[in-house]
Amino acid sequence: MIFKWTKGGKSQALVPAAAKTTSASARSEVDGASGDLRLPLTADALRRSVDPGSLGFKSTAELEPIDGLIGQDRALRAIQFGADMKAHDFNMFVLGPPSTGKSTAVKSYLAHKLRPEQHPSDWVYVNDFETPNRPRAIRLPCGRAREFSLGMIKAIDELRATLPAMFEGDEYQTRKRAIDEAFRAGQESALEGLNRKAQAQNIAILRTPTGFAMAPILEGKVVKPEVFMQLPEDMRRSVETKIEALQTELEALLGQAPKSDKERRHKLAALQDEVATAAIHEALDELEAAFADQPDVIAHLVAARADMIRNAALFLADGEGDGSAIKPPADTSRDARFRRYLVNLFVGGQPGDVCETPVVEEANPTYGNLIGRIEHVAQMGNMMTDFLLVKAGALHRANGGYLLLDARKLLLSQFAWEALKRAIKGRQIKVEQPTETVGMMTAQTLDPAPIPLDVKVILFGDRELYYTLAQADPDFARLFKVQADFDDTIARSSDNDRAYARLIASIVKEHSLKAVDAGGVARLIEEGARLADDREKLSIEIGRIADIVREADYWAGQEKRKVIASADVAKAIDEARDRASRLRDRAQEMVERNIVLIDTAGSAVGQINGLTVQQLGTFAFGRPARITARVRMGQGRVTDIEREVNLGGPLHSKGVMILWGFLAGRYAHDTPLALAASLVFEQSYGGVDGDSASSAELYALLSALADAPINQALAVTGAVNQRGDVQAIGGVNEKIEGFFDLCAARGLDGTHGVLIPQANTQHLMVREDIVEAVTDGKFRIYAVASIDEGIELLTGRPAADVHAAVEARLATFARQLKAYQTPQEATPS
Amino acid sequence: MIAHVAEATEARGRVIVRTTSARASDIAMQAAVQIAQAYRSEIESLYIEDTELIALSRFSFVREISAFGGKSRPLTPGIVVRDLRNQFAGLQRRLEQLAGAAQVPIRERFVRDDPLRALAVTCADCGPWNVVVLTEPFGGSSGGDIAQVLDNVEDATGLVLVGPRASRTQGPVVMVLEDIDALSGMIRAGDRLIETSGAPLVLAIIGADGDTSEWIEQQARLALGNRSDLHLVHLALNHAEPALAAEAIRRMAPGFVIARFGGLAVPAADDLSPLAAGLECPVLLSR
Repeated sequence: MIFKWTKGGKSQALVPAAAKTTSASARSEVDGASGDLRLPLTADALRRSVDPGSLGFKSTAELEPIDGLIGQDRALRAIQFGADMKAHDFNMFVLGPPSTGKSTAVKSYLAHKLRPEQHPSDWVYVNDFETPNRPRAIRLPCGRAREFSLGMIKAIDELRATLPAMFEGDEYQTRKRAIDEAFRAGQESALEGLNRKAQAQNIAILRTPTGFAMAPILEGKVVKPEVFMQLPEDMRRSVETKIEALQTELEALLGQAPKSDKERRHKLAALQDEVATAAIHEALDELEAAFADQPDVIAHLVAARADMIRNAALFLADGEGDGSAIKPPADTSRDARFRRYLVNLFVGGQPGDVCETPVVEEANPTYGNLIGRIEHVAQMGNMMTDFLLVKAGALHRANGGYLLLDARKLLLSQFAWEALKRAIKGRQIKVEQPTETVGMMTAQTLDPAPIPLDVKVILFGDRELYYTLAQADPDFARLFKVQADFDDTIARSSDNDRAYARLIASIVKEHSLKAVDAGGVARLIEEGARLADDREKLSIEIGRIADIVREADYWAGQEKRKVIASADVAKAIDEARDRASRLRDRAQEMVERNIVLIDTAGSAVGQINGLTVQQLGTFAFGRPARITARVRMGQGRVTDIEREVNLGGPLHSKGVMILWGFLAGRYAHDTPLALAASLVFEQSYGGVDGDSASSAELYALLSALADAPINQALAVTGAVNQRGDVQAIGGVNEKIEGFFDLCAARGLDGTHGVLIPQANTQHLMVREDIVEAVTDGKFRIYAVASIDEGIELLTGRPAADVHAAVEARLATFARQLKAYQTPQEATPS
Repeated sequence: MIAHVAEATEARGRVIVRTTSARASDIAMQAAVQIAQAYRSEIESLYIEDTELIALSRFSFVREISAFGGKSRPLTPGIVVRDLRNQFAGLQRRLEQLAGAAQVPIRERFVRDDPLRALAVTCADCGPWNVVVLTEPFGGSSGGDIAQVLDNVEDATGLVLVGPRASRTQGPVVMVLEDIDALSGMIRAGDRLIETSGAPLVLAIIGADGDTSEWIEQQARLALGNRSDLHLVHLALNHAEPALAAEAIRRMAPGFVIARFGGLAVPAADDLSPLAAGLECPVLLSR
C-alpha cells in the first residue's frame, strides 16, 4: 500500500477492546510458541538473527576479500557471452537496481578479457585537396598516426627552409632573370627596332601617359603642328601615311605583349614547378618510404605533393624582409598557411595512448560527445572550420572495443539515442551536425568521410527503463539482444553468509576502513536481510552495504575503537534512518496530538486501523490510517470514495472491486445484494494506490454489516481475493514498525498488535525493539491466512457468528428494498 | 663627385625628383627620401609636362597606342595634360607619404617644358648642391640620356638611377671603386647613407687587371687608415666586361650602389642592358 501525505481530522469515542473478549479471542491468547495460525508469532519468527560465533572468524581481517561479485552468476554469464559475441547487433543492456555493482562487474570482466588478435586502429583525417569540405579518413595501425603527423610536419619544416633557399639560389634566380630578360629584351629590342625605323623616316616614338605616340621630327625635335601645316600637302600626306603605317606596326607589336607576357609567366611557372618538385620530392621521400605499406597514406602524399607544387609560394611568403608587422609562427603546426597539409590525429596518436582494446565509459553521452563534432572558430565575424577541427566522439575512441553508457542519460540527451542506433545499424560513424540529421537547413559545413564502426555497446539502467525500451522501441530489441540482469538479493545460507562476510572484507579493503568484527558482520548480514525485505534473502546492493560500513567506521572512530563492532553498525543504521525521518516523526506527531485520528484502544463498528508505507527516496516508513465503512440498503454497490474523487489508483480500485466479488460470492447466491456501502481512508488527501489494505477494508465492511465492533488496538495489512484468502503485501516490516511506534508512544499495554498475511512471515526482519516487546508480551504480531481468521481476531467473535450476522443484515436489506420497490396496492373503498 | 648636398637649413640644394611619366619607380622615390634623410635635405618634386608630347598631341592624325595590348585612341593636348596631371598627382601623394614617414620636407613643382631644360632650371633654382633622382627606370640604351643629364645639368652633384628590376633600398651600401680619385667622395656619400640606414659599408674594387686592383687597394687602405667598419672586397672579373661587373655587383645584394659614370660598372657609351637586368637597387652616379 503506498500512501501519500494527508491532513489531520478529529478523533471519536472508542469502545474498550477488553469488553468484547470472546471465546475466539481467548483462543487467540494461547501461547504462540508452536507458531499456530491465529496465535501471535513468537519472537524468533520476527527477525532472523545471526550468531557471530557461528561465522567462524573474529574479524574481517582474517578473511580474504572476495574478488568480484556474489550471487550474480546469471548476469556474469550474460556479460561474458555479450562481450565475446562478435555480432554487431548483440549489444548488451545491464539492468538491475543501483548499487549492485553492475558497472564494476562489467569493467572488471573487460579488464581481464584479452583480445590479442584485435588492436584498435588509429584514425586520421586529412585534407582532400580537390574537395576540401570532404575530409578523407585514413586508417592506420595502432601507434602510427603520430608518426604520420610528425612526418608531415617535418616535411613542411624542411620545405620552409629549402624552398626559399632554392628560390633565392643562384640557379633559379639566373634562370628566372633569363626568362624575364628575354621577355623584356625582346620587347625592348622590338621597340628599339621600330624606333630606329621611325627615326630613319624622321618620325619619333614618344612616351605618352598610357602608351606611345608618333610624331614627325626635324633635327631631333618634334615638328610643331603650325610648322607642319605649312609643308606641301603631298609631303604632309606622306608623313601621315608613314606615321599611320608605323602606328599600325606599333599596335601589332604592343598587341603581342600580353601574349608574350603570358608565355613568360608560363615559363616562370614551369621553372617554379621544376624547382619546387625537386625539393618537395626530397622532403616527402622519407615519409613515403616509411608508409610504403599504407596505400591510403601514399595516395594522400601523392595528392599533397601535387598541391605543394601548385602552392609553392606558400613556403616562400615568410614575411621576413618585407616589413610586415605580423611574423608567421615558428611552429609549423600553428602556421595557418600549412594547415592544409597537417594531419588530424582523430583517434590515437596522442602521447600516452596505448595499443589495447579500448574500454570507454562516456559519463556525459550527449550527441556530440558520442558521435563527435565539427568545431568552428570565429574569423573576422564568420565561423570557419576545416578538417583539423573534426573531433572524435566516444564511439570513435571505443572503436574496436567497448563503449559503456548510462541508458537514462543517453535517452535524456537530445538526438543521442537515435544517433547511436544509426551508427550501430549502419556500422559506421558519420560526424555531422545534429540539425543535419533531422533535415533542418544549415550553412555549408564539412562532410567528413564516415569511419567504419566495430564496437560493443553496453548500456546500464534500471529494469523499468529496460522494459520500457523493449516495448516502445523496436530497434532496441534488434540491437541489444543480450540482457545481463543483476539480481538484488541472494538466498541466505551458511555459505552465502560467509561469502557476504568476504564481501564486507572487500568493502573494508577498498575504502581503507577498520576491520569489522564478527558481531558487526552479523549485524550487517541481518541488515542485508532487512534491505532485501526477506529473512530468507540478503541484499547484494553493494553500494548500500558499503555506505553502512563506511558510516559504521566513522562511529567506531568516534568511540575510539580499532575495529567496527555491532554497536557501530547499529548506530550507523539508526543514524541514517534518523536523518531521513523528519517527515515520519512529523506524521506521528500529528497522530499523537490527535490531529490525525487513529485509535489504538477500544473498539468501533465499521472502523479499522489500516497500514500504509510511504517511500521517500531510499527511506520508507509505515503509517497507520483509519479506514471506515458505512452500509445501508441500496442497489448493490460498494462506493470507494477515494476512487470517486480520483484519489484512488487502479490497484486500489481493483482491491475494492474484489471485495464486492467476495461479498457476492459469499452472501448473494440466492438473494440480491441489496447493499450500498462506502469505504474511505479517513483524513487522506494525497491519493492512495495498491491493494494491501483490501483485507482491512473488508473487515470494516463486515464489521459494519454485522454490527461487530473491531478492536482498535490492532492494525491490519494484507490483500484479499474473492475467496477470502489473505494475500502477501510489500513493506510488512515498515508497516509493523509504523504501528508499533505509535502504540509505544501512547504506551504499550499488551493489547496492541498487527495482523499480517501468513505469506509475509518469511519477510519478517523487524527492529530489535519490537522483537524485545514481543518477547515481553507487550506487542503481538499475528499471521492470518483467511478473512475468517482475521475477523475472529479483530472482533473476538467466531467467524461463523459474524458471517451469520452479515447474512441476516443483508437479508433485511433485501426485504426492505423489495418492499420499497413494490408498488402499494390500492385499498378498495 | 658628390661633394655636398645642401642640408635643409642651408637652402643651397635639394634632392630633385624628376618625373615625366607614370612609369615612375617606387624604389626611385624611396631612394630619394633616403638621400634626403641622409643629408637632412629637402625634396623638390619636379613634374614635367613634356612640350614635345603636347605638341605631338596637336596633330590630328596622331594616335596613342596603349602599352597594354596595343589598343589605340585619338590623342589631344587636353587628354595628354589631363592624364599627366592625374598621374603626377598620384605619384606626388605617394612621395609625400614616403617623405612624411621619414620627416623629410617636400615641395612640388609642375612645369611644362623640355625635360632637360626644366631639370637644369630647377637645379639652378635650388642649387648648386643638388642630387637628381630620375624616377623612370633606365634601359639598355639609356646611356646617352644619362650622359646628357650629367652634361647639361650643372647644379647636380650626383644622379640617382634605378633599373627596371629595382626592388629594394635596404642592404649594404656598395661603393664601386675603379678610380682612386673617386674614393674620398664615395666615402663621404657612403658614410652619409649608412648613418641613417645602419647598413654595412662595402668598398668593392674593380681594376682593369689584377695589378691595377692591388694598387687601388693599397692606395685605398692608406687613405682609409685604421677604419674597421668598412669592408673591402675585390670584384675579380675574368674579363673587364660590364656584364661581369654587373653580375658581380648583383651577387653582393646591395641596397645602394655608388659608382662613377663612365666606368666598367656603369659604362657611358656601352649598352646598359646587363646593369639593367641585374641591378636591384638604386645607383648613385658621380661624374
